[in-house]
Amino acid sequence: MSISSFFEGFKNVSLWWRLAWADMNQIYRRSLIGIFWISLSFVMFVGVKIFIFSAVMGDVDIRVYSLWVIIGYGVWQFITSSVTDACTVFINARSWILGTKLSYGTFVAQNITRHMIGLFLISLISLGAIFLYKYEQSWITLSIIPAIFVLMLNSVWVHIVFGIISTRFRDFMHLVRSIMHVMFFVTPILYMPSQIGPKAAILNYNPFTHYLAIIREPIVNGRISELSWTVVICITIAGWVAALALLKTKLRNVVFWI
Amino acid sequence: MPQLLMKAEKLILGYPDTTVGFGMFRTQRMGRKLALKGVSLELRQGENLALIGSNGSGKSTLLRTLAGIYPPDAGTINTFGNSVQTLFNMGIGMKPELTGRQNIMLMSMIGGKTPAEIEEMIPKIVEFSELHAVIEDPVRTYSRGMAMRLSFAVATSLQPEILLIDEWIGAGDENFRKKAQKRLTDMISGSKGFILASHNTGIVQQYCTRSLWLDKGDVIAVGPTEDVIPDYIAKSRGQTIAPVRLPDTARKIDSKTSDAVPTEKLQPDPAVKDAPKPSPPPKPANPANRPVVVQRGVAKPKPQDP
Repeated sequence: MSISSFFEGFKNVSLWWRLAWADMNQIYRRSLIGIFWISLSFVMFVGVKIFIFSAVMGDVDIRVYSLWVIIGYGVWQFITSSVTDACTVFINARSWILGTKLSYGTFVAQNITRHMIGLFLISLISLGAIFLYKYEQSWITLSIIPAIFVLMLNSVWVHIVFGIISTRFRDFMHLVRSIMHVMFFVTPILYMPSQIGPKAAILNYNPFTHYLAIIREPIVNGRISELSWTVVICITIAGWVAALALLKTKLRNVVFWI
Repeated sequence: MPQLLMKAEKLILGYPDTTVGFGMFRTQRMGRKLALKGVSLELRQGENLALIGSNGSGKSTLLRTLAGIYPPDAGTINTFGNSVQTLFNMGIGMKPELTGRQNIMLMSMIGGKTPAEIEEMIPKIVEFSELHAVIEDPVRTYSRGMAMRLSFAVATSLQPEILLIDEWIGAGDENFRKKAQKRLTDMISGSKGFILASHNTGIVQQYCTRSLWLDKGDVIAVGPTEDVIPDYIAKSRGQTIAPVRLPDTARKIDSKTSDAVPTEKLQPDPAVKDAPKPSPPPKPANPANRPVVVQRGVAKPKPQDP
């Protein structure tokens, strides 16, 4: 039950890809548009928000605000589904863990693939919006490629850390779920920091602000936020240290805790 | 002496304590429990080893440990490079929305096959499971028996060198069951050796050359089946004769049955199964020489359940 055996699961690409795809099939079974419900429900949510909030907020440029909400909420969807699903990654794989010799990494890769498929379907919408609004993009936009990669890396450590902790302490996943509900409002997704005046400084203490910023800033404002990248990289490193420590000491207990 | 296939030495395994909280705010108490207390075993080429013992004796735990699912606290397992396959994961990975063919692919991959190998196996699996007509339909449209045939066909088409079986499996209707028995026998003869955990002493005597008798994680006896089983039967009869209440019809059938081939028709009264065993067994309901068999799986506590 070593660290390398955990990451063995990531190598069997055809397996976790199939498993993730089968999950998607299961969720959207027998529906006409299938997984495009992810895109559609995203469009509906974002559409209504933009319609209502742009009316309330008055002097904000509708193009800027729309893109702000679309990109922000899209990334948020990935983050929140990653974090909440991370808690149940091993618990849901119970029969697999007890019945097969599959590396636990398989289930983590399967979960993240599912979220990446979601992110892809949402980014199609974002792309559509950028073209529709004829929103000008510069080379700086390319920085979202490493940013998405960093998001994935974070998703992996979150799965390991949250997955192991909630297997042992079941209260943890309920706590995480509750916190994520609250965080949605404390993170600048539906509003821009400039709109809340001096209180905006508080937003910088919310790590999610920075996770959104590394993708949203280049697209919406054509700039790279150094502060956000610094925060994100620091959290990523800290998270991975915690993940490796837990893998080394606690992974062997997971099979008894589930 | 035939070649060693698998060697386990002094396996010790305890389930960790999973209690959370304290005082009145405490989850169901799950104290640390030692499930294997220094179990050693050897499996040699051509040998079939049975694990026998009452419910909760550690058979399944030992099997899972040998399969590499449970990490032991101490002790070593050496498989000398032989592939190990478990037969207690039948049906895991079955996705109702996927077609039969896609499910074969998925389940075989879980069993460690590559897509190319599986493509070759598919026609044989389809033929054996007799599902030609529906193999492109989603599995949710299958009957229970059909789904079972599919997972059985996949599970038994993987050809491991060492096979670990938790209870003998029967699948499908009467016709298919005969076929299944043959397939299982073929699979066993195809492997270099297997380990079977079972309550069914008849099956054990039929298929296993050696037996290892476990009780509460300790090895009571290990040796040729014909030496171990009689003692085990004598012992287990003494222990379980009292708490199992038999239905009247079953009693009639049962009194005709010989000792060695126990029937599996009898079912213990669920209300009685957890009752403490009275130390001097009350006689009246049970004439002395009746074998009492608990239908497999029914009264088996799963120690790993939190």
